[in-house]
Amino acid sequence: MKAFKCHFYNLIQFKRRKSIQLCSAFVLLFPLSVLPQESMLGDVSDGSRAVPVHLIKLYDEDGSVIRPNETHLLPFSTRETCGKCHDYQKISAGLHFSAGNPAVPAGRKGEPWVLTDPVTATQIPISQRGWSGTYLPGSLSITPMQFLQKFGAHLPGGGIGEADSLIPAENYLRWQVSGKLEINCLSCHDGEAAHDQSQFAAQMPKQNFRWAAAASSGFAKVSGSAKDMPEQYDIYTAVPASVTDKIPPSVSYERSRFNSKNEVFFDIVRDIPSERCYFCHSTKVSSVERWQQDDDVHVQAGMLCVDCHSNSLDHNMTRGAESEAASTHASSLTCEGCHLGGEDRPMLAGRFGAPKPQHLGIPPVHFDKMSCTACHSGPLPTEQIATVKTSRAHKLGTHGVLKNDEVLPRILSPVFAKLENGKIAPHKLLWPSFWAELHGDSLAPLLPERVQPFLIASYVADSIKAPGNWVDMPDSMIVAVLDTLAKLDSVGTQFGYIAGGNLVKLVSSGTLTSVSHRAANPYMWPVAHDVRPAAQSLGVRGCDDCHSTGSPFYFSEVGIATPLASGHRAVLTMAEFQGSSALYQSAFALSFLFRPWLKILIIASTLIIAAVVLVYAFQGLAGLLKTFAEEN
Amino acid sequence: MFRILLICVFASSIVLFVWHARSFSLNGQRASWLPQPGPAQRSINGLRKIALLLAAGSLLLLVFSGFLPNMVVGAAPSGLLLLIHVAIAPLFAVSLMLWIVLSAHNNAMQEQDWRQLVSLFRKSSEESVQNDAANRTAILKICFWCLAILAVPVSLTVMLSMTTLLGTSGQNTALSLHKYSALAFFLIAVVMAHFVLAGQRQNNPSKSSSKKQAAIDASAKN
Repeated sequence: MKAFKCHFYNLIQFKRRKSIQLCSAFVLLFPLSVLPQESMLGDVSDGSRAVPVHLIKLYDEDGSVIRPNETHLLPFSTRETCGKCHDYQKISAGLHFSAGNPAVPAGRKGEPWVLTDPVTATQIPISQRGWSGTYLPGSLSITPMQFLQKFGAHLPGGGIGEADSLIPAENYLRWQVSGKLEINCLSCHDGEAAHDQSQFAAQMPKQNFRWAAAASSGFAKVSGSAKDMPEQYDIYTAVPASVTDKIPPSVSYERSRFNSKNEVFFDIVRDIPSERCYFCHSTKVSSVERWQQDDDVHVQAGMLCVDCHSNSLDHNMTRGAESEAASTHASSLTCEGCHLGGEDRPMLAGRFGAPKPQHLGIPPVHFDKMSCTACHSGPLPTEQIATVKTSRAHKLGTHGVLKNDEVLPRILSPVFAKLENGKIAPHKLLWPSFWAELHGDSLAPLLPERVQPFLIASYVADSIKAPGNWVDMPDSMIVAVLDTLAKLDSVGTQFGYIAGGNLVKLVSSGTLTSVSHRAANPYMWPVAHDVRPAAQSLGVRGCDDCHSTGSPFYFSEVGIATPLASGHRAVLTMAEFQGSSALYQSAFALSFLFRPWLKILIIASTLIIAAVVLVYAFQGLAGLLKTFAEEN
Repeated sequence: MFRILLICVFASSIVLFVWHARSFSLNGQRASWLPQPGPAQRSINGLRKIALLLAAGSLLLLVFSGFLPNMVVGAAPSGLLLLIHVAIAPLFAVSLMLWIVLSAHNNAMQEQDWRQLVSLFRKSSEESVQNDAANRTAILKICFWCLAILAVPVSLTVMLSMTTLLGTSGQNTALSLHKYSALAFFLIAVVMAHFVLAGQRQNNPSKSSSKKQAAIDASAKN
């Protein structure tokens, strides 16, 4: 009865609060919609290059000033705190926050989120941008809240984290407990050494979305878990309605950071440190230790990521791709734009002191067929393409992450493949692997939870022994799972398993058959970093760097990552990803063995011809002069 | 620009050869502009013929592999066509060199040739027709030396681009020079072939026209 009363009270209080909020919003927004929009204080520079000092008050999500001396404190809201001087609405349409917005163009393929489950040997590329080869979270029945719990660790907030339209009605109360995941401005702009993005990440599985930004700041501590609280939990009273053995989410601030006016100094920097970017954009090559791997040559030279990947207030930062450069200034921040200039921007070449490359001895056809990154970026190709781990796919930089190199998902790099514009560039590659419902030619991936109950116990036991990795999956288990799934389905749906570049399905005889399917094709996305020094570029040691019979550029083995016991050791050569064949490239490479001799032949012949011409030229000239003399 | 030039040259070459093919059939007669060989020169002539045939054949392959992508898609050759182009080029260079070395003396410009050339621009068309053979010989010699001169930039530009002496802009310039000089080379080769064929046609009236004349004569007798 007490619990019911408490719930009822909370509900009434919640509704009252919402009504007040709605009325206030209408009263406030009505004049805004009529009057012309004005730029906010922090959005227009007065031209000073000095960095403004951010000694500011903190506001919670209701717009109330946070006073550290009060009991039961709420986390500060970036929308309210930063939004006092900066146009939060405009910023929230930026590249890092617009993935879920269908009105925003998908743009060039990028790194997907990878739904991974070692036990069911699942790795599904997911993206809200709808890139071909990826799946929308909604198509897998992943709700925004589930998405944030799984992948929010490496999201800077915003977008799916605070879009009302994406919140399902049945999850409404749960979202009131967790709060929205506002844009965490500090994720990028905090210059404070104590900033801890891993604390932001740690709040995601706990559904502490409201508290995440505060947790990452260097002056607040967050404890408890919103996930453990019931839907009726009231953040204002902070008393769990019925559960008492769980810790409710709460925040405590370091009081010494507040001055007498309740202001806090934020070390906000305009030139964002690259370390902030690295939290979400790191790549580790397996079996390569940190000291063996250099930073990007631009960073070594003292540049920051944001020098090239910069933006205006709209936060639509340049991605560096020529095809996406919307303005002259944006195109000057591409490799070509900065190092070579161009017809429309000759004066912008050489930004940041970029040297103009000579490319001595490189035939121009290479620039038509390959991107700059092909020779200059990513790890150097080796005989067998290495697996890499990325921040977002492998949760790098977060607490409790598995550090062994075999952890799923299996991502290979560098794979030299064609971009959409036909140029060859290094890519990262992921072979999809998942159980699926088959609907004619199309299929729908199944979440691991749906398959897990049907796995053979001995196989599950084996996979537990290999944490984070998949173990060999015998055909008998695939047959058993597919058979069980089919039997339990009342409408006769067919099921299959995507792995190793093929679709495996049951045929009437009860055996497995492997067929090609577009959903089994590898998902690839281009990589541009780390850029190596010119001395480590491909081609700098001559044509043999690529055009030799054993060069990794064409003949490296790209493994087909699969848990299928029958599919091991399957490889493709790099040439196949470039729309070529190993045979042709071998023939082409062989021609380089004879080229020195052929060159000598041609040069010798040309010199002899030149000598003959020279000898007879004087004789002919004499004849011509004599003819003119006779004519006169 | 280059593509338009290329299409024009190819179109005119095809028209020229179709015209020759319709009105003339080769019957193995020696071209009048070539000097009649003595017994000692036969072996050299044989070598020269082989060199000419090889040069002409490889030129056709080079033109095909080099200009086709330019003409069709406006891009430089690559892939298999580039492989063919690169493989044929040395054969062409050597055979052309042999042909030029073996033919240079016979094609040396004499005073008579210069006079003929100068007069070609001065005399009336009637007189030009009367000296047609001499004119043709002079033109063919000029063509020969033009080919010899153009062979140098055609080869050297591409050889230079294979060294590490040139950067990207230098490479592009070299490639442009290679393209334009190769086009000029091909154009002159076509002009030369035209004059050779025209000379053969004049010296050896076709069988069909002889038959026609015989038929006219027979009807006149009847």
